[in-house]
Amino acid sequence: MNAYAIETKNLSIFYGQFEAVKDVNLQIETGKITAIIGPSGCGKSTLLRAFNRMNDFVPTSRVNGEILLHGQNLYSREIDPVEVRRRIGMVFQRPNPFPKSIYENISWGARINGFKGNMDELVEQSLRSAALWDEVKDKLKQSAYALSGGQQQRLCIARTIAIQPEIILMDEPASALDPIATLKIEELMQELKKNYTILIVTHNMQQAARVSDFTAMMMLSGEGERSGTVIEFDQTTKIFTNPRDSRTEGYVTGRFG
Amino acid sequence: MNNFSYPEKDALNRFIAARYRTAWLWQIVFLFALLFAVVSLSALILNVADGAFGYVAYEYKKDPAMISPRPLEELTVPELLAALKANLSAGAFAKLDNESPLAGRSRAELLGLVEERILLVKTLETYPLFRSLFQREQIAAEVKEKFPAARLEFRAWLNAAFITSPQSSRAEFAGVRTAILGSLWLVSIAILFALPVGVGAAIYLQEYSNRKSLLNRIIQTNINNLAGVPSIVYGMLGLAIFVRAWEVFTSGALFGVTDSNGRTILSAGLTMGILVLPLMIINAQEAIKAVPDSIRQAAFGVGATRWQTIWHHVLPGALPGILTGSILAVSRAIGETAPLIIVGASTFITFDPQSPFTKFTALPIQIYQWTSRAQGEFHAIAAAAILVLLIMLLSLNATAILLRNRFQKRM
Amino acid sequence: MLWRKSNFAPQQSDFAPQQSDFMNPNALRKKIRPAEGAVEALLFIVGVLTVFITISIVLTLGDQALLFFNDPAVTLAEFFGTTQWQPQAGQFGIWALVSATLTTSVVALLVAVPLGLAAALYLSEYASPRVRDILKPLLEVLAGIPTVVYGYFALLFVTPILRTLLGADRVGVYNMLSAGLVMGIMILPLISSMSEDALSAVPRSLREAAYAMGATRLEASVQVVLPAALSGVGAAVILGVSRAVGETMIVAIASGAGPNFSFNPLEAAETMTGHIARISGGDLPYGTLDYSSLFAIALMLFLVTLVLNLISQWFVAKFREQYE
Repeated sequence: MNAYAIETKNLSIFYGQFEAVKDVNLQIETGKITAIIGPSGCGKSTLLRAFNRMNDFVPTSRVNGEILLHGQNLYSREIDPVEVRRRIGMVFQRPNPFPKSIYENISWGARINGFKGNMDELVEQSLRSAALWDEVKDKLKQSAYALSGGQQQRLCIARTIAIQPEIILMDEPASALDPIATLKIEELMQELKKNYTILIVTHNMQQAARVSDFTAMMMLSGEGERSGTVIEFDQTTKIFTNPRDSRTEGYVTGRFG
Repeated sequence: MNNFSYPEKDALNRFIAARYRTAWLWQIVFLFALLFAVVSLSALILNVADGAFGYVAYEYKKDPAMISPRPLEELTVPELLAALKANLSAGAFAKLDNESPLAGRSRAELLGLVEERILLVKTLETYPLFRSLFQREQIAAEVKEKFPAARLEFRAWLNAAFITSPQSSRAEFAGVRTAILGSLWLVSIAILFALPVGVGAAIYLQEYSNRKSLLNRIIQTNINNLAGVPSIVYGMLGLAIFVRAWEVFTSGALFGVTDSNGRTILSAGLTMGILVLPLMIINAQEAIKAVPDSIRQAAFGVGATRWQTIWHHVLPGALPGILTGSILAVSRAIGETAPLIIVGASTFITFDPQSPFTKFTALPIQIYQWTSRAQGEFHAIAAAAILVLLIMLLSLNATAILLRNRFQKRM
Repeated sequence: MLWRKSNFAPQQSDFAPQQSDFMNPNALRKKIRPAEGAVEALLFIVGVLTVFITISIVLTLGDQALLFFNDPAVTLAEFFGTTQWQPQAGQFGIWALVSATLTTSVVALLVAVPLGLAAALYLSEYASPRVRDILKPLLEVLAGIPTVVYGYFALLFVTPILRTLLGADRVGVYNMLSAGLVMGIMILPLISSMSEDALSAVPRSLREAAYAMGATRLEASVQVVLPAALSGVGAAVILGVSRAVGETMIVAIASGAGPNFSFNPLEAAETMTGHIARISGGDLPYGTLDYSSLFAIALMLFLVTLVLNLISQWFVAKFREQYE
């Protein structure tokens, strides 16, 4: 039985001939928050998107190595990517609610995935878990676009939760938000990790230090290289106080990056 | 000393002034080009209006007094019916009644029949609008001189009777009802074909196929080429395929219709459908492209399949654009003439189309036919028909613009 | 905290059967989604349909044209070399029709290109937004008027004016000049709007560089911006030619009803398109030489406009490249 929610084995991601991400070995622990940090352009988002097979939409992308969910390789031929995306949810950098009502934003995803229970309860439950219920409970039928940026992002989190994923991927979820909205998202993440495993990409080091239990440091694999790789992966406290790799140390202390 | 000297002081001022003068002159020239377009458009519209209204000099071969001492305009429907019955042969009366019951026809129609069949009206001369407005006395004098027995009357060739009357071989009594219905039938068939096919092709090109693949680029180039093919070539295609090769289907023989050939509304409608298809596709592609990608990503992110994403999110978002595109395609189809000529539009039909398997005529065909006649009265009704066509197009385009603005505000 | 932990969680069974056991190795297996496959196949067929339309056009025209050229009464030398088109007399020289197409198109372009370009320059470089908002829709209206209406205008307005101006003895009731002029008016909006797109696509930085060096608006637009947009303008002109060559109704109504090998615009002559329209308007028995000759002419038309359109698209691609 795997203690890990998900792990990668020698994972490399290619766009055509270009190796964007090289040889990544990560073991993500269940119920914990893992952050992926590093300078821009080293493949953090590419790596994150590999977990829920969003890279499939880029025609030239392909993958070497494995991503194992409960021992099953997500990239093997028999696996249905649509099913993968239900179990591994994603919150995007810019909030992207559907042009529908708040209620429908949540119910649509549930419906197409075959939800048969009480929809009203599901919507309320998801909104509560996303710390949004009290603010929108009287206006569920209003357009999602009427909400503020921070509220929209929490709505996106709510709709992800509604389909009951095991893992939630977050691609710089607060970078488009103001500091107060950011704080709300970070508090939310602490609550969410009681029920979900969270993998977050962030370029904000302080956020990574505040929020995550584990941190993966990504960087270009060498001088003049264009492929990114994980150069260090450990508990967050260790990464930020006593990193093993000098490049990690240079990045977290702000000497560069 | 250096030879790069620029003009100074006075010479400089004169030089700059000269350049400004040249610039100003050319600006006038450019503006003139635009004004030329404005003037042409106005000339065209005024020319058409000029032809559709004006004085008419005509005479009756038989004296109207033989029907009634009162003026014709005052006669009532029963009086007109009685006059028809009394003066037409039994056979002629029965034939008219068969086409459409005389008792049910409008007063204007009955009056027209009286004038046509009994009084044998003949148009002598038509006068355009502006002459009629500003040279009334000259016209009256001229008519008195040339046609002493003639009556002179100001006529609006575009009137309610014109729109509701069917075709006729006499210009004074011809109307565009059959033509309008024919055009509507045609356009409906065209859109019924082009809308689903066009939107489907656009969805395939934008959402399913790899946009950089060779197949996609071939299809795309091909569509752009088809959009530029002259409409007459589409007519030839329609002739060879729909009228001839598929005659069994388009003439209705497959469905038991026995007395027609391939030159039917169905053939013409399908030909038009193929003609507007490239426009439909290009338009739908633009509408689909305008839907932000973040919506698609969000849908995939919650585990939707591609078709679920398209059906629930992309298509609703693209709908306004597709709608306005359809209206533009309709405008295009209504105005096209050449393909209809090739596919075999009839120029003289008096009955309203009842099914897709009948002969047909269309508004532009009538305009073409009437314009090609020599007599002034045919030009007059051609002008009236043009006005009808232009009004239809204007309403369509206004609707499209209104819809577009309304949906843009919503976004 | 702003929320309360709720007592109810959606039951596992609330989701369709495949949810439950995460350890089930079949949980992530590919689901059979027949609807998805069917939809994609259907849309693929529809997408490829347009290619079939083009193939049909080529086959249909080519098939009949081949019949025409294989007929013993017709030789390629006569088709491309002689200047009389009289099917009853067995004469099939395409130049009789091509000359009229050429003449009317040249007249049309002489009107549409300078005026269209000038209009584009004014709209993109000089006009204030308010003026543009009035004039652009006007041009679109011109573009939307059905060609049969233009034909009426040519026959009943332009021709009488020409006859008054130049003498009724020199200008016939049907003449190529009138048709050509009105064709030019019809094509003007096309050239104007495509050129305007090309001019607008030239980056602001180029214009500003010219102004910064003290150029007047005229000098900047004509000597800097226009040359930079040249390929786009070229594409517009070529498309205009293609449009002029393929136009039917204006020439059918106003230009003349009989083939006449002449380049004198004051004479009447029938173009390729006008000829096809006139002959098919009558009762044409299938299988005759007359019938297949129409397809041969149509094939020429199709090929010429195809080549022109391809060249135009190549121009557009080239000019888009510059600013990507």
